Amino acid sequence: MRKAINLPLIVSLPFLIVLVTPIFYLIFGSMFFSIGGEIFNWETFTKYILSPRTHVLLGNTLIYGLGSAALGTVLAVIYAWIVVRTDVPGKRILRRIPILGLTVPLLVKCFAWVALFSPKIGLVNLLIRQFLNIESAFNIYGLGGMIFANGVGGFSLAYLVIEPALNSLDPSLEEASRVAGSGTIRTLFKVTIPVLLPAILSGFLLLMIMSVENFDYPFVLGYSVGVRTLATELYYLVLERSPPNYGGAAVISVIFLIFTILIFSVYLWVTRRAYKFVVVTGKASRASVNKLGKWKYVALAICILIMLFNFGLILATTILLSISSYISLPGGNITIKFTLNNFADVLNLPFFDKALTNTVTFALASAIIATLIAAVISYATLKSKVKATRLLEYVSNIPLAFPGIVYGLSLFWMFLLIPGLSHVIYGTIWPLVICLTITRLPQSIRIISGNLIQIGDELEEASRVCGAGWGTTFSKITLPLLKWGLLNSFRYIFVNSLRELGSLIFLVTPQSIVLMVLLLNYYSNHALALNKVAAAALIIIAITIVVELAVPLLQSASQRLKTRREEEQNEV
Amino acid sequence: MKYKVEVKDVVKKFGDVTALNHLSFKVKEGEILSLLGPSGCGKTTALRVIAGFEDIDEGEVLLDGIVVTSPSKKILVPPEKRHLGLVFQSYALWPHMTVYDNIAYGLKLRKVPKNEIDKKVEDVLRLVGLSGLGDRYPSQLSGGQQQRVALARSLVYEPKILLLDEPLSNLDLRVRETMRGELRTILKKTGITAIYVTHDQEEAFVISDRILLMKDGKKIQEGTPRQIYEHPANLFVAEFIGRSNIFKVHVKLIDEQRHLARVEVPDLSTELLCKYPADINPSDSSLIAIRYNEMEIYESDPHIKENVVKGKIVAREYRGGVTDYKVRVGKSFINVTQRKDIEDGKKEVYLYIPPESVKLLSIAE
Amino acid sequence: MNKGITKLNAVLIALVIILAAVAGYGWLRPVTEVTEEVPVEVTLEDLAKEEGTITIYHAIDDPDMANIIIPAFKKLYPWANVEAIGMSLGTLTTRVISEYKAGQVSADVIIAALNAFMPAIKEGAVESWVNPMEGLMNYPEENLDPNNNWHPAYIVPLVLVYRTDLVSPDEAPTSYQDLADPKWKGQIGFSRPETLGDAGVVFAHLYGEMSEDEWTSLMEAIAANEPVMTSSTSDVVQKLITGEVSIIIATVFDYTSLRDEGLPVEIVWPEPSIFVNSPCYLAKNAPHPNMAKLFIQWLSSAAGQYALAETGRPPMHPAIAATTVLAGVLPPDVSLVLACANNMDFYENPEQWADRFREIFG
Repeated sequence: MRKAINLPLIVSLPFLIVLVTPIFYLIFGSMFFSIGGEIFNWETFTKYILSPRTHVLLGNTLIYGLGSAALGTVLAVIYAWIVVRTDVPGKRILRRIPILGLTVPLLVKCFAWVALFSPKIGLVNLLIRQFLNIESAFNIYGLGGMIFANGVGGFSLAYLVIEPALNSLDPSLEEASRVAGSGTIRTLFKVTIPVLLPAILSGFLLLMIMSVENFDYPFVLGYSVGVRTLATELYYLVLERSPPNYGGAAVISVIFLIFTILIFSVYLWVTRRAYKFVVVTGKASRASVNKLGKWKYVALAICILIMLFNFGLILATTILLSISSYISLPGGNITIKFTLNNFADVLNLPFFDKALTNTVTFALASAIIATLIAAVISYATLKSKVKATRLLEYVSNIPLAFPGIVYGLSLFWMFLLIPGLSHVIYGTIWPLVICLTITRLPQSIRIISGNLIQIGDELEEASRVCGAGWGTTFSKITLPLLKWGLLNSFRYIFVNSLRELGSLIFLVTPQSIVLMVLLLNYYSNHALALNKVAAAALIIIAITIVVELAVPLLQSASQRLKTRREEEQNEV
Repeated sequence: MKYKVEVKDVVKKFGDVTALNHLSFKVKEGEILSLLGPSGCGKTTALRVIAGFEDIDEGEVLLDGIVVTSPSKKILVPPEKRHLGLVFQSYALWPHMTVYDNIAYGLKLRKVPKNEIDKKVEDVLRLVGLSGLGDRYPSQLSGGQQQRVALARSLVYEPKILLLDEPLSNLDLRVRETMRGELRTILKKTGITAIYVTHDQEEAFVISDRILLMKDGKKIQEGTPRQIYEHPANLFVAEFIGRSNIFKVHVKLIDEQRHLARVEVPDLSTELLCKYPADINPSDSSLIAIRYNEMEIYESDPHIKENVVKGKIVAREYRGGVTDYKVRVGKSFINVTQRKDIEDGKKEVYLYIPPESVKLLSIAE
Repeated sequence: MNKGITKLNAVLIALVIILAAVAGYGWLRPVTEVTEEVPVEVTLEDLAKEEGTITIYHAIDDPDMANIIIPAFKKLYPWANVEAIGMSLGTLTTRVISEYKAGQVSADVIIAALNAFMPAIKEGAVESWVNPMEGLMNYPEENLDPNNNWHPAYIVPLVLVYRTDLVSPDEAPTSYQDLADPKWKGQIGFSRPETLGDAGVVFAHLYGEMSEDEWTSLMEAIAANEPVMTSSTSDVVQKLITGEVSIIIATVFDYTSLRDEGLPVEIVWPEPSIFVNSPCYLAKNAPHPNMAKLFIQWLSSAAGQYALAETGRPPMHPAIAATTVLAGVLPPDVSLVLACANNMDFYENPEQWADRFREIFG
């Protein structure tokens, strides 16, 4: 039986080949470049799988992953519902700020968490000791602290995935429930959340996988109390061990890959009937919000509290760091040596201009490219009826399976081993853009898919009946309706790229230096450079805020134009 | 005669489920055909097959004499090349475009020059009764207005064939009743060939020239509304069209000349005379159907020779203009709907059932 | 339906085969060697001038490199174009080895700690070269490499640093053995020994100073003292700053930086006082070998050594170090010993040491 040519599929395939290639290079590379140590083969693999140490690592990793993902997702659902579907005051600002949580480098974040909640010197504990006489109320060290810090941080990404879906939701679904007698909260649980399930699961899936690979928090908050995860092990094998153990690293990477496939399978199984969730059907209706009455101040308080932990407290610490040479906190004696030199020092760093320009350029480039590719791939996987799309969905998540460092390493090896490529590409910004685009593609696909899954097929079918082919339909109908998802994808990748480190350390050259790599290297030589890192982080946050402000300004300008037109009509 | 749409022996399976089971029908030019049936009967699938959104497992679909879907010939013309119109149940208006843009979309694709587009959009808006609303966004329109825009959008580029998928089911009753008449008027005015999918029997009757009744992917009966109404082929049709009382019968006597049959109705403890259409073989039947509104209750003996039974009113419901009566006759009940009032409290009545109202049903479904 | 999948599979398989072939080709491609003959009449500087540019991979930080070292070099060689990039030791080692093995060497000169860079030397990524400046500058024998694989740059003396506001000078530890004293429970910080960073080097060195059993009990005692272990020295220095720990194993440079900022810290030179060697190397198959040699020569010359001193790092040349960075900091009765000179096994089999430390410290 003949099948119609599936354009989205054909377009997506080359990209997916590109995604899969580094894995080959990871395995080849670990064999080719290995320096004694372990080789990636069946023996090594079984040795790792069977070792009890691995089981402990795996256990910790899973608890950490599940815990942070759950926390981050729950916070995101609550926050998103409040700012999108209720009349909470300050909506315009509340809706934009979650992304700020992504701007702070993890190094600074870790410092902030310790400075606030360390049992010995944490400021919050200090205050509580002072006023409530409780000794060491909070302990950020250990699995609990790790889960809290990572969950609260992961809230930002989960929010970016869930918000567009919630935005496109047909409010009549909730209204129907209210009419039937169900209160606001009950409606939230019985109608809104079930319908949003794909987006929520998307967010959860992403957070879980990324948490599993995250090593910053486990290092800083877990190691000294004996908590080890697979990610810390991987980092150790590749970057700390001398000589590096690429074979072992490859094994752990494969474990990550299996894990990602498993989680993703669960996700697909649960959301398999995509048509159930179609709720943007072109039956246009005015958006209405749930009125909370006096509860809206409680809602506001909840949002502020979430943002406080996600960003507010950390921002305060970052500012404090940036305007001081050091912060000393032993036993309640707080000594801060203030200075404004950090900003000048950062700006005077050699190649600062170059590093900043490079950073912003590749952040922009990767954000745009990845968003476009992700839109096409999302479309192909969701709308195509060909059986092979299932494979496509799995493959598009592969970059998620590997921690940034591993992907960066694989790409480094790939560029080295593909003849001719390195001459052309080394020293330019393109390895970095490619790396960032690939490693951010899965998140982007999740964000856009969560939005796309709710756009009814009929809107596109109507276009095709009118005579438009796939291309026209995609650009005139699908893309405009996807604009929330696309925008969030762009914002996420841009902001995240500004502070990205792990995957790039193998790819930077003197000509393509990058701000964060520069700064963190500075820190690893001079502990006191932490304050300069904080100052640089503030600069990045400032850039982000400017970009974030520009977008809604444009939006409200166009909205005002539209409303004015409507008003003129209604008068006629 | 050349048919606009030909569906030939189409089989369509979704996994284990057979959605279309050797379905065949033809639509003449300018004809409005309704695909009528309960949910899951395959009518929407049939429409989507004609539109080109679904491929088929066996059979062929032809539009204007040209094969557009044929698995054996490996042909599947994509929807955008079939030059059809399709009105969706949910209207599928693009929320980010104005009414004008929604309608003009198909014309822009055909590279029609702007001033011609303006004229055509204006004309079609006038046709559907929405002149002047071109600058509105769909969210600013009522359901009925949105429906008209959807219709306008599919008519503006003058397609050969118009497909409509339960277009009125999302409107409230009043609007629906107005719209269906208007719809027929508009369609006839343009002379377009239309296939209309619905589950609402009344709607189908008002709108269509011919009706095709479907169940489980098969054609059950095909004919004009009157034909189907007056001569339901079997139990399913009888139960689907109008409200009918169904009784088991034994055929006792047949007068083939006058097409009369005498049947014994055990449940009613009586015998009835029934007039049957030419294409039914009475000896095949074991069931009769009597429509609620095709009998009359008399308070006293009407002195009619045949088909009068005595009964007792056990329930009545006033529905505004007509009343539903439940009358006990023999061992069973007959439901009667009539305008004429029966005096309150009156229980013992006479029920006259005209022979034409006693419909013999064939066994085959 | 089936035909579609088969076609798709065929395309995928074809692409996979092509990629595998490409990868295989890269793998099997022979690595070419480059040798150079230097004619007697032409000076090294002339040859270097022809090359004009140099790329340095280093573990110094970029600001110091760009603000101090490179300008000092360019004072003598203003025509030179110097590209440098700093990276962590692990990254650096991996990149150099990978580039060498793939035949795509980008760095001409590398500056990195010896014990971390040893795997690269073992792999042959380093060119052995006799540096004439070493003889001219009269470096002591123990500060030179008999195999001429590495050349003098700077050293990293390891010390104990403690907070004078948290630890009184009379109680303060005077030796590494004191770290096992239970009164310091939970107050000591150092980088994870398994990373073979500062603490790892110190402990490995101590192994050469005592018996196997003594050493094991000392290690276990220190581990039992609930030390705060971090991923890097900078992290543990920050912990000293915030006051989360009172005593750390760190470098002299850390001490002087903290002291200069006004923090109440004091330095302890335990017995033995060891230093980590952070030399420079000439990369094999360097794209600009003559520039590289010029730079290495310069770095081991007085000008280079003083430039390094200016960054706060003790240069390799003992006299210059003593009169600059270490003046007033290194007591006259303390002599610095090369880390693990008494335990060369540390350089030969680092993985085993890493595993050992992992066993003990978790």
